[in-house]
Amino acid sequence: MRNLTTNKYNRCFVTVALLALCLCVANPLTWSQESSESAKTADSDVFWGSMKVSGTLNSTFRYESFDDWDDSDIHEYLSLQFKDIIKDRVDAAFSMMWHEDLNGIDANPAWGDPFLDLDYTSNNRVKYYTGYADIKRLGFEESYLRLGRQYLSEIDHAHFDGATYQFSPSSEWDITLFGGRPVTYYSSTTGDAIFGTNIAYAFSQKLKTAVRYYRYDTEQFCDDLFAAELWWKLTPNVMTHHEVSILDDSPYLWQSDLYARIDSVDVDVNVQIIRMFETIGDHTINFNPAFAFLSGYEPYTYGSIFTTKGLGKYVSLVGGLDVRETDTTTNPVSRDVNRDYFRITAGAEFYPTEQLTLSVNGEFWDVDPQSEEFTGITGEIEYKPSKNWSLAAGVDYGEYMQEFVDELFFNTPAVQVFRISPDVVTYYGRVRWRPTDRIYTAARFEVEDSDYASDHWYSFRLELGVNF
Amino acid sequence: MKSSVYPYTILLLVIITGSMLIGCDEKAGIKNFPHNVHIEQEIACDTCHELEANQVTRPTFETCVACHDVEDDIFANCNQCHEQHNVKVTEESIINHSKLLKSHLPDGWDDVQFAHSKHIENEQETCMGCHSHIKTSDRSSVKNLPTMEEAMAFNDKHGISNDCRVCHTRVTIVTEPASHNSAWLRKHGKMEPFMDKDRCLLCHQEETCTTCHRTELPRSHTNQWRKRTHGIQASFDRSSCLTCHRSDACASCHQTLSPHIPPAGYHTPASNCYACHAPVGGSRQAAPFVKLMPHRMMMGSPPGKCLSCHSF
Repeated sequence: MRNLTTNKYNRCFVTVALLALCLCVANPLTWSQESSESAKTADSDVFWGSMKVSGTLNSTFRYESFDDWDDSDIHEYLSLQFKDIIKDRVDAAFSMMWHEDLNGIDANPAWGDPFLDLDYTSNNRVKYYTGYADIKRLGFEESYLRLGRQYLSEIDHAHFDGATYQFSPSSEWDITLFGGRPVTYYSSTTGDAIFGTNIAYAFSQKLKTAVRYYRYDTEQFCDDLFAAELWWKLTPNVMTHHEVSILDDSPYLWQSDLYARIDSVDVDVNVQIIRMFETIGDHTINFNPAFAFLSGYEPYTYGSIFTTKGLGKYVSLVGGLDVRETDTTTNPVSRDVNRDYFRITAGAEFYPTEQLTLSVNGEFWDVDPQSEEFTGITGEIEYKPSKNWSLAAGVDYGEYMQEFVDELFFNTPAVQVFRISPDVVTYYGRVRWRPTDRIYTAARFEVEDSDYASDHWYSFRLELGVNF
Repeated sequence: MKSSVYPYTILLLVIITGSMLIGCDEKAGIKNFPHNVHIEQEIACDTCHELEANQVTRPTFETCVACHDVEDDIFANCNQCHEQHNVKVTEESIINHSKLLKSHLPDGWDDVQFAHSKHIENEQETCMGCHSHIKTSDRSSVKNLPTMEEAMAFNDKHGISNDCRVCHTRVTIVTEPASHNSAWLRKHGKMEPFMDKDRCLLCHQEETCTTCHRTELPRSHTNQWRKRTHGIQASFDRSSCLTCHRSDACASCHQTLSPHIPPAGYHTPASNCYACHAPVGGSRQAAPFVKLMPHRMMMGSPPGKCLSCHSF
């Protein structure tokens, strides 16, 4: 990468071509009108005739600069939904991301290139997220069979190539059976399998329960998860959710959530309590707690409360508290990567006029052992001169304070402890323009000033999206 | 930290609780109108509500005094507002409360307009079909109005489009609800267990979650985060990373970038970074960690094995 003049013309050409392509496609009103017109004229079971196409095309151009280096990339995200390919019988969907580095990679990325990230290192330029067809009313009136690449939100957002059959024998029951090959973008899943079921029963509109089981089977590991969930809507504004799970025959997680909305004082409250029971080591990737880098995940208890409050029409406040206590361990490795912490978040938004929003948000972490800390503050001013335009500018400050042992003194009596506290200030500006309900554009400029770097980091991002 | 956690916790809880109790004026209006009493006495809906220009009117004070004496106790609550605004209620004070009520509707409700006449024309439907809660309602409440789900179910039943503009005058598919303020970005993950998928799909598509999570990074993921601090944050709490990432993503990057993980053969399923690089004395080391790998033991490896990764 990145001599400033390298491939300049190619870059410009590709960028302009892609943006032009977006604008051509961005004739969404015509598309949608045609779709809806055709829907109106299609009487019923005509193949293709009743089909409605909708979706999103998002194009993002990103330019970054640091010292004498620069980098240009483009990301294209496309999502398509085909409804009523056969009326009331067959739908389909497809989504993908394409990433292109417009000016190449440095010859020795491990040492020099400051722009490398997951996109580069995975060498995975095209990612297919979904691509499936739904065959509806198969056996039951409320049912569908989904074939292809899909996510299953009920099963911990399982991502796989395979089949799902979801059906409701009655209005109270909702049953899902699924199976296939897991999808990952950074490792092979050849020979792997994931399959299971989710059975939900609604006692009433206020009370619902579900049990789920699934197996993730690979050459090295095989994990079985069994979980039970309960949702209880105590009032329209007070809801709770509870979940317990067993992983590989051992107690795994207990989680309870509460949401309450108190209209009279304009307050929202979220409370969450989690208890993890057993140490989690190397597992299949759905359960692996980044073991290779962070070692085992030790049992902990976590609690959080997060509130938002409106104070009239001019002010709203947010505040939160998170506390985690890890079970005591004498293993220095475990203690080093399984931390106790206390985290405070607080923020305020001010609306002096309908067009203007001022916001301040901050967070503070106090982490044990070694009493490390993180402080982060963001301030932003946003101006919306009309419903189509939004202009914003902000500043973001972050400071990590860490204690280290100087390795040069390793094995000597004089162990040296030193602290680092990198100050990083990021200034940013953002413009959003939504010329129609279907087209949106955004530009963002960012400058990062760090006392670790010899130069500022500059970033510019241009985004054009179409919902059709 | 443990010794300092609890005072902070107590202080913060006090602040949070205190701030929650700072009240805002509840919506004024006729708070205690007992629909149930009127229905029990078999008073027809159109005794008080008239159909006028496709809309059902709200009763005025004049409507009330047509049956009730102005000195009646039932008007006692009126003074909650009238005294506050220094307006004395007398028999002559005929005020059109319908305009007043409109200003006291819950936020957003004045946006909802539709032709009552078309609903009433359909003889299968009665007022109670949509306003079922008033049978037992002893006070004015949003609950007396049909919910959006009920309205949409009605539309489905009668083959009416559920496009926003059928009922809403200002709200469109791109109008964000009040809940979607800046705090929403932070808390929507915590709200996931309570999200009604069907309600989300009113405006969003099934792919929307994926679209956003694939095209927008969290605010914390700055350049400095990528280069330096994400590892620190992961050691604070890895669970937030696992929301989007899996462990193979870490491996993918760190096979190329420093600190890199060794290639297969040295990294076995049962080992990890700490098998060779360990903290000392319970404290962290400046990267790279102190190397505890017994190099001499490794000399027994096949010739050239070390040099496949390392140079002299």
